[in-house]
Amino acid sequence: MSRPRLLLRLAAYGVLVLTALVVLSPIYAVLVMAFSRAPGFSVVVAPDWSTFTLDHVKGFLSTHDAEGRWLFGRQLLNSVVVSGGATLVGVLFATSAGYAFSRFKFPGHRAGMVGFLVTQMFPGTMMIVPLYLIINALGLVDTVAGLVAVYATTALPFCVWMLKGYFDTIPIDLDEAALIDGASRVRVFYQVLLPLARPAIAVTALFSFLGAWNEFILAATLLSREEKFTLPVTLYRHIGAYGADWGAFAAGSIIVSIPVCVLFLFLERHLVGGLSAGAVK
Amino acid sequence: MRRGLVIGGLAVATLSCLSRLGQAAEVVLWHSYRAGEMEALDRTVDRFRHEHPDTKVRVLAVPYGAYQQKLISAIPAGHGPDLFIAAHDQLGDMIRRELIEPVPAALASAQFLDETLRPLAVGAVQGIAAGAAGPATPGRSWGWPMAFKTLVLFYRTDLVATPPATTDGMIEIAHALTRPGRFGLAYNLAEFYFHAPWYFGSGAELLSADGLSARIESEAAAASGAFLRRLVLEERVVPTDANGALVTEMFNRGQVAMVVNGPWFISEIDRGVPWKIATLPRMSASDRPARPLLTVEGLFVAKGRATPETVGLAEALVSDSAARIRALEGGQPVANRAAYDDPEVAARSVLGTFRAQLEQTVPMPTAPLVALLWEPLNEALRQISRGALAPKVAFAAAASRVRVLNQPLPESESAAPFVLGLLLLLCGALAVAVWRRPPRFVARLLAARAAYAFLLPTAIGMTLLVAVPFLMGLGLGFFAFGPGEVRFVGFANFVSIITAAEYPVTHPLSFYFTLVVTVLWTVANVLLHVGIGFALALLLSPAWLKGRGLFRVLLILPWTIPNYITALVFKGLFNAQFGAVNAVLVALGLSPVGWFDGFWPAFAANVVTNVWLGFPFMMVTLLGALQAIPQDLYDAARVDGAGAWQRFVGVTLPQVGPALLPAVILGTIWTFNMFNIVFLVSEGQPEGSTDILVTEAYRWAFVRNGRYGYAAAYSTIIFVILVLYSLVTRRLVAPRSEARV
Amino acid sequence: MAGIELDRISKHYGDTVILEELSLAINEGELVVLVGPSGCGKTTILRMIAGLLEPSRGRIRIDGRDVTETLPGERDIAMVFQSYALYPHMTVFENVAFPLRVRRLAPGEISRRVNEVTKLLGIDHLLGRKPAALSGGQRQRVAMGRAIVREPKAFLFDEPLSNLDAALRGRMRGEIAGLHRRLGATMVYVTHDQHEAMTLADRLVLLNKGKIEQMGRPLDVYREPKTRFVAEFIGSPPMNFVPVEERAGSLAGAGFAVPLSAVGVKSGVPGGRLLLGVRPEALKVATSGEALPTLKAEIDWIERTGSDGYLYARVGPTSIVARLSAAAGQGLSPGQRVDLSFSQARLFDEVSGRAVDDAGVA
Repeated sequence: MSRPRLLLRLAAYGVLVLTALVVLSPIYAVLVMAFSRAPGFSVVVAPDWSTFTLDHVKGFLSTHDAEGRWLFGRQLLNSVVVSGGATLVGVLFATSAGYAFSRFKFPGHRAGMVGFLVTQMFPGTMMIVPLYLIINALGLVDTVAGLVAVYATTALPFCVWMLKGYFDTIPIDLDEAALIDGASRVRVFYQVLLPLARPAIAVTALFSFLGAWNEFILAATLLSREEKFTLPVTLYRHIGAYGADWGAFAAGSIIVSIPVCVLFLFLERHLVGGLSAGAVK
Repeated sequence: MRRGLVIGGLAVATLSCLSRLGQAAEVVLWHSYRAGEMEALDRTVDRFRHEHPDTKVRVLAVPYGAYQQKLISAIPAGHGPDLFIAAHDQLGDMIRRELIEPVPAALASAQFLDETLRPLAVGAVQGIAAGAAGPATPGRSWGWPMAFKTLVLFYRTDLVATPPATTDGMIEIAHALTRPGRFGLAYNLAEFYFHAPWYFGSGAELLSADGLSARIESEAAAASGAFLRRLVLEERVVPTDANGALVTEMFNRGQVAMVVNGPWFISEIDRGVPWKIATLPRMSASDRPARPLLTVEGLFVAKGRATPETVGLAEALVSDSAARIRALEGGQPVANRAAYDDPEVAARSVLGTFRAQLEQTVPMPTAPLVALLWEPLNEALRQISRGALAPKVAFAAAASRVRVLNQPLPESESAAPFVLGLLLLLCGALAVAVWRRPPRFVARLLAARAAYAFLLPTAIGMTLLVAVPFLMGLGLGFFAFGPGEVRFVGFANFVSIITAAEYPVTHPLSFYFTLVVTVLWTVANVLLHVGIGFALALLLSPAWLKGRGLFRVLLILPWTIPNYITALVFKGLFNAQFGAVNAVLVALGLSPVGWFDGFWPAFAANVVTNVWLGFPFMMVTLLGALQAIPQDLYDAARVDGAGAWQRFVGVTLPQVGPALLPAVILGTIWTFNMFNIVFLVSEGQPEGSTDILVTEAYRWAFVRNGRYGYAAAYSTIIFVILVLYSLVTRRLVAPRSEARV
Repeated sequence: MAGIELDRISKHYGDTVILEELSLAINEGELVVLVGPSGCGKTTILRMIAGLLEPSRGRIRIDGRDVTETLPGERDIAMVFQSYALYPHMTVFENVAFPLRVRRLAPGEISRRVNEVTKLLGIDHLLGRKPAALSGGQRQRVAMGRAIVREPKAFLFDEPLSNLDAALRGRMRGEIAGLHRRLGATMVYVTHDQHEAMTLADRLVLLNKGKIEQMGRPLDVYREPKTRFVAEFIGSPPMNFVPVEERAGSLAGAGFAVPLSAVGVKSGVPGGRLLLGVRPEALKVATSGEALPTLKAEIDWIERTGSDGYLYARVGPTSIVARLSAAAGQGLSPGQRVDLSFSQARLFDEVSGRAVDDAGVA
């Protein structure tokens, strides 16, 4: 495409820089809270760097429980295991379901797709108590498996829609060619469609991960051992009945957000880009 | 197959029984303490462990935000604690839900301060039949008092030499210290809890003696309102928009000289700040002492867990020596008499002051009705301090709001016709389905075996963890939950919501007003999400743009941050007196805005927050869609003489549409139900006018006395509205490409 | 190598009938071309042979074995798609090796066979590339390689050349013909291009609206179309049709009459409206005293391509085309009246569209 005039280009940069600044300023506020001794928000405009401190961060990182176990380490591990597990299970289920919805016509096809959408319409806060009862009946309270199951399924509707849509863009000729070549349905699925759907899988994986990583209400309800907590539960503990430790909360927010930011950084290209090259023409 | 399932089920049941047996000697203690209080508690537990090596003790610090809900769900399910620490005002609720046992042994009542024992005594809990826990024997109690929390006056000794004895004196001192950017006095004006000293000091009361009716509309209440008005609007010695964190900060910086606050405030004061505390002053107008609310933190035994080990641990934790540790290391105003005789404790004048204030307190009521008072009272206080309503009118409005919230439960209905109707409906639906089944239905079902195999895992997960809770939620809407009872009420909840008879449609508390606000909220957000997302996607897609990757990453950042964090941060940014937004406005020469004083600014604050965190999703979706457009189409349009706008309308829009549409539909649904932002940013202010349907539903369930049925009916109505919306757009939603093969 | 047999197969989608009771036997080693306009059902037949579609009724046998319910992968057939359907994420080598990998052949065997086949097709230098980095012709060859490498019982081609430019198409056509000769394999080839059909087919099956209109060796079909549809579809430019009536042993048209013998019919011609079908290449500008039957025509215009030319004319109200040798057109000009003689013609019933020959109306 041709380059527009210099003035227009400068305007585009200007708008982008301005937007980026607006977008970043609240994050900056959190940084100031996390790294300065003064609590609260009024420091934002003119931060006083003489009060710079790493105490909040250190405090968040170095929590130990009564038995001397390094809680942060365990909770980080829990978060990683729970989010990773939920992502894995969710994506596995969603790709398989998305494939079925994209490639087969069967009784219940339409009802299924609409059903996924419908599940998004009931307020989530009303689902907490029933969910607890079910997870309890399954004997999964206080287990990683219970949380993984809940997170994976709550992410499913979006993931299935997303993947079904992407599979639809992959020419069905490829499936047929592979079928004729002697591949089974399962093989077609994992050797032909899955590699081609990588961008969509990356997006859905990221989405599932994000949802699981940031969730705290369900986690706080379903877990009751401190060493089993995920990070957001711990993070929310800094907001108590009678006041909040904003510095620790901000420090925790940053620590909790970093892995997700890094993931985004790595998957960003996938997130946006399609696998347009090499598709059947 | 079926037999296998049964055996498997038995195995699981047996295993879980065995594992429970293995844990018999363990005592589990829950609390929601933080920082110093937590460490001190841990110390006392450690001591117990040391002395009783046979008893295993597990301590869990549960986040405060999830504490109550967790107790309610975990104790009946057998995953709860044996012992837990909770505030006494939860007592009524806990007894009704049968979460706790009365303390088994007669209390050594002489051990504890009377004021802390009284609220926990069996029979003292209002609104509960005395017989619920056996006869009200003197000395029997629902729990052991551990510590108490109440308000006192903190002051900076560098600014205030002697604490005021009367409120007139307090205003005088405050007046002398108040100048631009500085205030004599500060406390959290938005919470009735902090107004309570003036309220009770003026002689007002919250409830009737039996706890069954509200008494918030009185001359005395109006007098306390007049005092608030004087502090804020006439003398202007109190900042109007100071929440907890700001009060702390201003005190630390010397921008405020006196603060009304509780013991938790101590740990928030910076080292180096010279401070002391005093009991609250006498009210000059009524010549009575200001009387703050008292909360006793009790140690409770979970239902059915009163084992010797549990009681042993409890007694160790409330012993005088443990109390001493909590007082000295956790800074807790403890409930044990003996602690205050200890020389080291006595040397801490702070604890002595709290004990002195204890004698002039009003215990937090435990009657169920009290839970309904806070919302209307807080609203009344906001109205008074904004000067919007005269104190008398504001309290009268609050009283009438309480009457609306406290409507008697609908009459119980027989469930039989409903069950029958439901069965008939199901049979009818089944019959219709069988009658109108497509040709060769069974054959097609069989032919689609492969498809069902691929769907099976998802179907199981969705049924178990989405469909079942969803149906349970729907079902709850037909019940009403009152103190200690559940009734089947048929459609009464729905009728009550939809007729919305209590308020005119234009009133902020009317269902239809909330509905309109919700729609407005959704439309505004989705439009802005798509608009901004689209604009940025267009800006980010041209190949000549350098640093695309960087911009993209920066602009995606809001998506990565948990939305409750975002909401809390924005809440701070929009603070009227101290927030960065107003600071920027002032720096630009504009006048600051009271963001949560009016509907539109508050609504705007909500929208800004939600737009900030929501646009990246649309931006990314659209970026992907834009990149998928073949360059040929643009070239063709260019050759055809289309200008930039025509290319956008003729090529970009139609090509992007298929990707945008599902995103918009999902976005609409998500925004419609976006609870966290509204709940945390504007909190529904002013007057609940910025509340949307989900936050309203939440309030019914978790703020207003656990009216779960009503809340579930609300949720069902939300659900129906969204289903209707999607039906309207159904033609657009329908999968564009029918499945092949 | 094996024969393929379609036994009275039908395909319906709801009320829409795609194929009705169609039977077709393809012999071992034969290259059968299914040709017809779009929507005639030719691709449906191919996909049913492949197993991608199930017939609503009827049986399909390959090599004598009933495969109607057999999965595509177990029918031992290979297919080349119009889109080539190369796996975009695999290299050329992986693409060609895929069917062998599926069958769990030893890696050594796989690479031996892939190398052999790719060498045969002249794409052995591209093995490491991905499909996106290939030209159209190269992709086509990879698709063929993937089919050949399996040594299947039969090959199916679904308009494999339609995405290539004209020159390449010609060359690939030749290569497919050569491949067929070399492998001696059973091949079913679907196309809508009659040129491809004529040049490639051992036997040509012309389909229309889900029915076999005619089948046979290409030249036989060309010479003796059984219906007006076949006559129009095969041959370029298509056959001319001039309305005639039978009058006392001769066929009379607008300003001309020809004897019945000119269309190879002796007697028994039905009454009613008839069409005289004459191929453009059978027409010549008559020289005086010629014995052949002639049409009287008025020239509209003349097109010359160098090697030959086309004469567009009208017989009465009917437009016709005649193909002329380069020399024959000399001296003619638009508006001129000429006699056009023909060496060969067929008679069709206008209503039924069927050819009228010795056996009477077919």
